Amino acid sequence: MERAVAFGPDDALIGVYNPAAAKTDVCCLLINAGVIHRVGPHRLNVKIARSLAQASIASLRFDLSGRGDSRAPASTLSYSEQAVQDLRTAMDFVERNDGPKRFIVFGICSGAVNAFQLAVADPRVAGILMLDGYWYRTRWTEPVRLWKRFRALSARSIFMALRRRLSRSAPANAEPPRVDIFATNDTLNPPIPEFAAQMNRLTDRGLDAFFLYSGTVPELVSYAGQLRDTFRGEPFIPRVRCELHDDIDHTAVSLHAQRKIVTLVHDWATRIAGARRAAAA
Amino acid sequence: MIPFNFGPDDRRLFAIHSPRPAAAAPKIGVVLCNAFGREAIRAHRLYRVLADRLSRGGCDVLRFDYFGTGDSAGDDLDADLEGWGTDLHAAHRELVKRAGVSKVVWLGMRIGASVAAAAARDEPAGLARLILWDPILDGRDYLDLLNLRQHESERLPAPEGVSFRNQPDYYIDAAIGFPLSRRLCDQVRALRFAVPPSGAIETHVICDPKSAEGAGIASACRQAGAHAHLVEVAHGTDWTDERDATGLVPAPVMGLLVERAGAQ
Repeated sequence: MERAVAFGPDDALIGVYNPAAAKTDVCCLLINAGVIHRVGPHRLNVKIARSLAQASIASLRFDLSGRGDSRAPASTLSYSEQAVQDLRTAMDFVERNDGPKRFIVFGICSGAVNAFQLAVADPRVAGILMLDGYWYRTRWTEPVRLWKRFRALSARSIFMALRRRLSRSAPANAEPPRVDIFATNDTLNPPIPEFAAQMNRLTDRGLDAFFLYSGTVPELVSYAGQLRDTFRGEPFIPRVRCELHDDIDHTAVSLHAQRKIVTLVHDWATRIAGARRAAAA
Repeated sequence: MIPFNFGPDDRRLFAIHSPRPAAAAPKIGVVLCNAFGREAIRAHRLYRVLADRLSRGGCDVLRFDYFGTGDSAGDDLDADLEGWGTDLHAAHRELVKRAGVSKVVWLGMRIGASVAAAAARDEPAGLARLILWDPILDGRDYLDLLNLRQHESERLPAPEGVSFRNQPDYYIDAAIGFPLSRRLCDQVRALRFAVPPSGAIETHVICDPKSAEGAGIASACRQAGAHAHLVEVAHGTDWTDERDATGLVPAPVMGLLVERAGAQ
């Protein structure tokens, strides 16, 4: 049964621990996406936690310091350092209460970045699934985006676009400009050599890394092979999984996207847990 | 803050108790009633800050998730307004038991105000005051707004020619990313704002006069009688806008809520 928990210094971190239906040594950490509290966008983390529990995988969803219900940190650590410290505190808490574990982490956007940083810092992390985490644009990103956009157009919308272009007028029902929450995020991606070195080290020690991308920001990621094209020849490339799903969106607002993400996380996690059980047997 | 679970095994609810300062005597208990879906997510920060301020002011505050929402048990499709009223009564009893308070305030925003107003008709022991913030004026218009926002979020064309006002059987299965059962949809459709009969409970209604619903809410409030206190304050928050990440804690309302709940 799910249990509300408070842990860490002064019980400042607030979350919900979901023990597995059967004894397990795998626990999934489900963490904040942006400013959304631990339940995740559209309660996605709750749905994932319950799906994993049925597959004998425990989970802890919780708020990082200063997010959701967790208190702001008293330390002077940077945001990124604090996130890693909070996540390690969470792992310590789970192990103290439920025995030694290997951890897998699911994170969206900034949560994906935190998952990666945790894997770099702590060898207890066996897997990370990053939804819209790091990306590297290639010379094919824009042509593929334009091609996909063209392919999705109906004859009527092509006609209307041409007519607008010819009359040089703005459409009467033009969409309001989108708020581009990714506008500055290119600079957050580590330099290519640094990221390659980190990924090679992580996969050398057996980390299971799944780079999952939504179809929300084709300007940044328009095809699944971007990672392969950017890091061609690096040892980590054949060891990681990278998928782009145009039919899921960044915050899983469609019910279809929610079901698909839950299934992807569930299948990924159960494969890791199954491999561990097989190795132990 | 003390997170905990309460309720029977088949209806376990998640809650957080923000207790009054250790040395203080029991004063007032405040139960915060969540909005629904996207609006609840947007208001989470506000409720957290509000709970902190109220508890520092000597109140015991309980936040909780209705069944089928947030961290509470239940699937999204298990959610229903009558059940949420039952959950509110359970939360009320839980706070009285934990904090030893004899006087309780229910504070609800949007659909949380509707849940509180409906549940208050049972006049549970100790309930002294209702604070209803931006209540839903007409459930049909609310569902139309949720439907429009769902389409915007999925970058779909706006629904044309369909409305909950002109199609009695119209149904949507999602409200800005949150699954909606037929039962909950029908219950929301039937919502009309009305101040509950007075009894021993005084009602404070806070609304934004510049919002689409402001004038109607004010009118319903004025008709209710002397036990209904109307406060109009412009805060301009659009709780359903996915793109608007600003104004998570509208300052003009925060102080007012603290004052009306009795912490000042």
